[in-house]
Amino acid sequence: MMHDRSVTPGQAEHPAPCAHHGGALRMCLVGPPTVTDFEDPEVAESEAIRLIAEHAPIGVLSLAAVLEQHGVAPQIVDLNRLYYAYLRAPGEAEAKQDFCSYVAEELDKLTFDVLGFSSICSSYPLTIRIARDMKQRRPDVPIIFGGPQASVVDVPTMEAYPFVDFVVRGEAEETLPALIKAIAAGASPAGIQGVTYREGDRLVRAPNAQIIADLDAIPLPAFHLYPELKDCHYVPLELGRGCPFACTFCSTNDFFRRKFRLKSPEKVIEQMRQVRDVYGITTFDLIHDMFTVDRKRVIAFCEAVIATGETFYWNCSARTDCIDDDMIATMARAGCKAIFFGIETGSARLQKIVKKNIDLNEATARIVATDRNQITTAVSLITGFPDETMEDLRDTVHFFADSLRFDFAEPQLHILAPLAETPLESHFRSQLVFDDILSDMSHQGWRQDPVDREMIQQHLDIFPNFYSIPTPALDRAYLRELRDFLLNGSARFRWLLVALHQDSRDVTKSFEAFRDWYATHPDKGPRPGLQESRYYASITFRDDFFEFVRDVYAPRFARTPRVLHSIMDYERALIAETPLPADTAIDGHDVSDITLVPKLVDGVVLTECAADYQRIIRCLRRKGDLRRIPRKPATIATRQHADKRLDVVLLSPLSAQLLKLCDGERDISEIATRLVPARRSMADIPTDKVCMFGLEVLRQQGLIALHRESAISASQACAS
Amino acid sequence: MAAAKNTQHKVVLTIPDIGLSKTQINSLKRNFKNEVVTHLGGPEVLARRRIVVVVVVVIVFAQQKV
Ligand code: B12
Ligand SMILES: C[S@@+](CC[C@H](N)C(=O)[O-])C[C@H]1O[C@@H](n2cnc3c(N)ncnc32)[C@H](O)[C@@H]1O
Ligand code: SF4
Repeated sequence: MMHDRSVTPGQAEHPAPCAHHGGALRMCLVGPPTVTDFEDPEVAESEAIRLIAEHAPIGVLSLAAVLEQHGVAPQIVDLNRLYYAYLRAPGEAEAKQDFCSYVAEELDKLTFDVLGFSSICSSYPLTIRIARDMKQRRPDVPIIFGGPQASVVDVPTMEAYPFVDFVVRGEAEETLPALIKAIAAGASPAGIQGVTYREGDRLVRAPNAQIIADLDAIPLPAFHLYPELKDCHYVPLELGRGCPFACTFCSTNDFFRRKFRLKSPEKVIEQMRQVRDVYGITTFDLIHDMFTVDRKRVIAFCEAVIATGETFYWNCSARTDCIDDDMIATMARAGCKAIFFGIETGSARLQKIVKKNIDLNEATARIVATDRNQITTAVSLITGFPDETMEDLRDTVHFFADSLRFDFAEPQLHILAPLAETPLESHFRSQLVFDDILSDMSHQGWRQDPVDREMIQQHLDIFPNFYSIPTPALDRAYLRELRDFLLNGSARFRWLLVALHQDSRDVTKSFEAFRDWYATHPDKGPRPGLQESRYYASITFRDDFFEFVRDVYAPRFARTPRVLHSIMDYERALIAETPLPADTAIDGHDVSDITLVPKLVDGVVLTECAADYQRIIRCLRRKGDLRRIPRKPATIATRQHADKRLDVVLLSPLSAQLLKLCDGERDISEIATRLVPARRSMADIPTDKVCMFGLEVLRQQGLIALHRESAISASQACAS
Repeated sequence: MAAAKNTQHKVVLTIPDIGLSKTQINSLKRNFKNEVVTHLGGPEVLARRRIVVVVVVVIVFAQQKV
C-alpha cells in the first residue's frame, strides 16, 4: 500500500537548480524503458517487441502537457526509442559501451534544470543506474522519480540511492508542478502532498496527494513533444483511473486508488479526433485498468462514439463479471477491437483466495461473446500463487488450452510477481526468495544484467518483484518451463496443442511426457538456453515436439492418432521451407494449346493429409468427438509469395491428382491420357476436356504455369 | 496457428471455349473446387521463424500491422 509514513514538515532551504537562467524552467522527463537493456538484438528487432516499444509514454507526456500550462518547458526522452538507436548504432555489440552509459551521454547533450524519471518494476534497476550516472555528470540538477514503482518504494530507494532527490508518489498532475515551483524558488517542498524528500539526513514522506477528481481537466498528452508519434500504429489515451476491486496481486488498484473515475465521452472523443486530425491515426489503446465498472457509462461512451459516424478502433481492459454480451456487441459496434480480461486462475478455489472472485463459466461465456464479435481478447492467467496446488495449476492450464479454441482469444500465462506493496507482497515479504525464476513482470531480456542482479540481491525492499513467493506444492522451475511450453507451443502450433489437450484430457500430461522423453532420449543433449526460455522459442523445440508426438505420443498414448497426424501434416505444410518464388514465366497461354507443359509454380508445395483438417478444427472448436473424424486423404498446396504471405489451397481429389501429374515433363495431352476422373457425374465429358478444364482452374489459381517446353528439353537446350 | 478461414476463390474463371455444355461446366466446377484459405502473414509466418518472440504484456493490442 502507498501508506502514509511519518510526516515532518521541513523548513530547510532547498537550493534552486543552477542552470535556470531566468527563462522558463526546463525539465527533462524520461519515460520508463520496457524494452530491456539486456535483450538479444534479434528479439528486440522482432515485430512483437517493436510494436510494444512503440507505445507512447503517456505518463510523462501527460505531465509534460500539465507542466507547459505552468510555464515550465518540458522535453521528453523515450528510453525505448533510445534503445533502438543504441542497438542500431554502427559497431560490434561487444565493443559498444553499455546502454546505461549511452543514455547518460545522450541525456548529457540536452539542456535542462530538473531531471525526472518515470519507473516501472522491470526496468527499475536500469532507471536507477542512469540516474546515478546523471548525478555524476550534473550534480546540481535535482533528480525526481515518479511512476508506479518509485511511488511504492520511495523510502528504501532514497535511503539506498542518495542521488535521488525527490519521489513524487501516485498521480502527479498536481504534485509535480507544485514541486517544480518549490524547486525553482529554492524553497522546501514541505507541505506538498505526495512528495518524499530529504531534509538534512532525514527522509520526509508527506501525506499522499489527493487523487485527480476531474480527469477531463488533464490536457491532451504533449504529443507535439513526441515526433515519433507520426510513425506509430496506435496511440494510447487515458479513459480513466481507479479500480474498486481488491485482487491481492494487483498494484494498480492501490496506485490509482479504489475510486473509479472516467473521462467524459466527449473528452475522449475530442482527444481521439485531435490525434486523428494531426497524425492520421485512428487506433487507440484506451487506458483504464477496469473500464467496465459502470455499465451505463460504458454504453454512453460507445453510443457517443457510434453517433459520431466516424471510425475509431480501440482496446480496453475489463473484468468478465463486469461486462455482458449486449455490452460486448455494443462495444464492437463502437470500434472495440481488443479487450484485456484478467482471469488469473482457472481454479475456483484460488479465485476466492486471491480475491478476484470471478465465475469461471461466466468468464468462458464472455470469451465466446468477444470471439463472436471478433474482438481480440487477452485471457490473462497467473501461476505461482503461494497456495496453488497441482490441481489448481491444472485448472489454470485447462482454461488456457480451452481458450485456444477461440480464434480471437489470446491466452497469456504470467508467473506471479510479488509487486511491491501489494497485499501478497506485504504478507510474504519475509519469505521471499531469490531463485532466478523471474516473472515476466520483471522481464529484463533472456539474460539479466549482472549489475542489475547485484542491486536486486542487495535490496529486496526496492526490487521485490524480482524475488519469488515460495510455492510449497509446486516446483517453480517446472512452472517456468510449462509456461514457456504453452506460450511458444500456442504460437507455433496452436491447434496441435488444443488437440493434444482434448486427446489426453490434460495437456500438462503431454508436456510432462515430452520432458521425460527428451531427458531419456539417447541422441538429445541438454536443451540449450532452457532457463532463459531460448530453447522453447527456437524452431528446435517445434521439431523436437513434433518428433515426440509422431514417435511416442501418437503411437503409444493417443486415442485419436490420425487426428494428431493430420494436424501435424497440415502444420508441417505451413512451415515447410519453400523456395521464394523466382520470376515465374508468365505464360500468357491457356490450356487450349495441348502441347504446353504445365509445371508447379515456384514456391508451391504439396502435402498429403490423412483427414480433413477443416473438419478437425470445427470438431475441436466445439469439443466434439475426435474419434468421429473419418479417414479422408486430402492434398494441400501451399503457395509462398515473395512478400512472405502464404496461401493454402485445399485441393479437390481430382485437382490433387492432376497437380501430381504436372511433373514439368509431361505436356497437357500426355497428362490427359493418365488422368482418371472416376466420378460418374463426369462420365459424359471427354477426359482431355476434364483435364484442360482442371488445369485451367489450377493455372488461374496460380498453382501452375504453362511452359512451351519441358524441363528436360529446356535444360538440354541450355547445355547445347 | 489461428484457425484458417476458408474463402471462395475470388478469381473469376474464364474458361477457353473447349466445347463444353453448361451442365458439363457446372459438373467440372464442382469436381475442381479447391478451397483457398487466404493467409495474410500473422501466426503462420510466425510459426516458420527460427525463433518466436512471445510477449505477454498487461495491455492488448488491437490491430497489429502485418
Ligand atoms: C500502457 C502500459 C504499458 C505499455 C507502455 C508502458 C509505458 N511506456 O508507459 C507497455 C505495453 C509497453 C507495458 C509493458 C509492461 N508493463 Co506496463 N502498463 C501499462 C499500463 C496499462 C498503463 C500505463 C499508463 O500509461 N498509464 C497512464 C499514465 C497517465 O499513468 P502513469 O504512467 O502511471 O503516470 C502517472 C504517474 O505514474 C506519474 N508519473 C509517471 N511518470 C512519472 C515521472 C515523474 C518524474 C513523476 C514525477 C511522475 C510520474 O504521473 C503520471 C500522471 O499522474 C499500466 C497500468 C496503469 N493503469 O497504469 C501498466 C503497468 C505500468 N505495467 C506494468 C508492467 C509490470 C509491465 C511489464 C514490465 C510487464 C508486463 N508483463 O506487462 C511490461 C514491460 C515488458 C518487459 N519489460 O518485458 C505494471 C508496473 C507495476 C510496477 N509496480 O511497476 C503496471 C502498473 C500494470 C500492473 N500493475 O500490472 N505497459
Ligand atoms: C490491470 S490488470 C487486468 C485488467 C482488468 N482489470 C482485470 O482485472 O481483468 C493487469 C493484469 O496483469 C496481470 N498481473 C497483474 N499483477 C500481476 C502480478 N503481480 N503477477 C503476475 N501477473 C500480474 C494479471 O493477469 C492482471 O489481470
Ligand atoms: S486485477 Fe483488475 S480487477 Fe483486480 S484490482 Fe487489479 S485492476 Fe482491479
